[in-house]
Amino acid sequence: MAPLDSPSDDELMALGRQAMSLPDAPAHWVRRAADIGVPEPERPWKSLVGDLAGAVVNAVSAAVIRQIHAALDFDSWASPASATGMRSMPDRTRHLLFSAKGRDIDVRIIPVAERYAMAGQVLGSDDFGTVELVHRPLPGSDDGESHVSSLDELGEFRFSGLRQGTVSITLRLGNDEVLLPSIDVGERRV
Amino acid sequence: MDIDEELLELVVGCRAGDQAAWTALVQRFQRLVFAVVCRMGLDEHDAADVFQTVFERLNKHLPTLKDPSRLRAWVVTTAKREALLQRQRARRTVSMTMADDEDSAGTPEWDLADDALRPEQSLSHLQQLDRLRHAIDRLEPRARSLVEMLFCDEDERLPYEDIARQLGMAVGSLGPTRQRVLERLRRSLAA
Repeated sequence: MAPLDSPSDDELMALGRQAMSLPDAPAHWVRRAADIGVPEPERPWKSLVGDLAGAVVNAVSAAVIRQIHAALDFDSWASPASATGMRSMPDRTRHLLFSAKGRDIDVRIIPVAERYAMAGQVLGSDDFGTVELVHRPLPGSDDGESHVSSLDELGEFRFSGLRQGTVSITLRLGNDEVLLPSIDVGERRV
Repeated sequence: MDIDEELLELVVGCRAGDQAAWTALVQRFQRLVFAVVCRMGLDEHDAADVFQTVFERLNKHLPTLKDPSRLRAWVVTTAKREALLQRQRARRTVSMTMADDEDSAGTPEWDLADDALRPEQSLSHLQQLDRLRHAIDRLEPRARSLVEMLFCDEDERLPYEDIARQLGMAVGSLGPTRQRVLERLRRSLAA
């Protein structure tokens, strides 16, 4: 069921019944999570020292770019559709997960009319970063079309209007340049 | 105070080192994380690990969070992602089909077939249910009791006269009260 923006009374009551039946997590799971404790509050002196140290490190390492090749951990199209256990109808959205030295990159390719949108999220400690996507209509061709997007505060990025072809993605996160393996954009090949 | 304002207050409290705010934030999201994790077909041990990991990540994420209104989406994405990774790890070490089982005829063990929703739909539906449940939990006690009585299955639903008697209300005021409560819940979904 898709989310309802303005449900009728009957729909709202049906949703309400489902909402009331959502179970709580086991109490000991919740206790263990609560025991993680509050995030350490930022203290002014610590922040100042951190800023100074950061500035020194940045100045020293500004010219040093570390290149990291991300590894593919999961591709929803690599699994037989039934083995995902999540749907009975074929899903045209492709879901990929990459990992790269402490960061995880979640990418979804969604067909939109005749084109494709790519939405992703970087899960790691980076606050800022950019994503460069180079689209090639034919694999291996040199004439790629480049698009650049910035990560938002949740580490998310999005490209839309992509045509079928191959994309190369490079994430620039601090002094790291994370290269994702080439991704085919298009319909699933069985 | 609307739901997002309350969430913002909890985030601010956590950042200020308020343990009660963190506990409340865990309480606020425990049902949602549990629901996501349960839908991913993990065994209890793996599900518990993923549940804990999601809150550890949330804990690290809070100091840099700028828009608390997107926190619910972040929690769902992180829970889904961690559950998928856990499932991947499990697949590397354990056969996830029952092909070796003589009786199974190769039936995939993950064939959960929860409700035939596509995953993204299912997760946004869950977010909506969680939002609604929270809004119900925040109703004043009599309104909540009314909701519980009205929202139960039709064959278990009490006649209006009985509901009115149990809540100490006039039968004539049940309809307008019901409408006000539904409107409030509807607004919580639109927020």
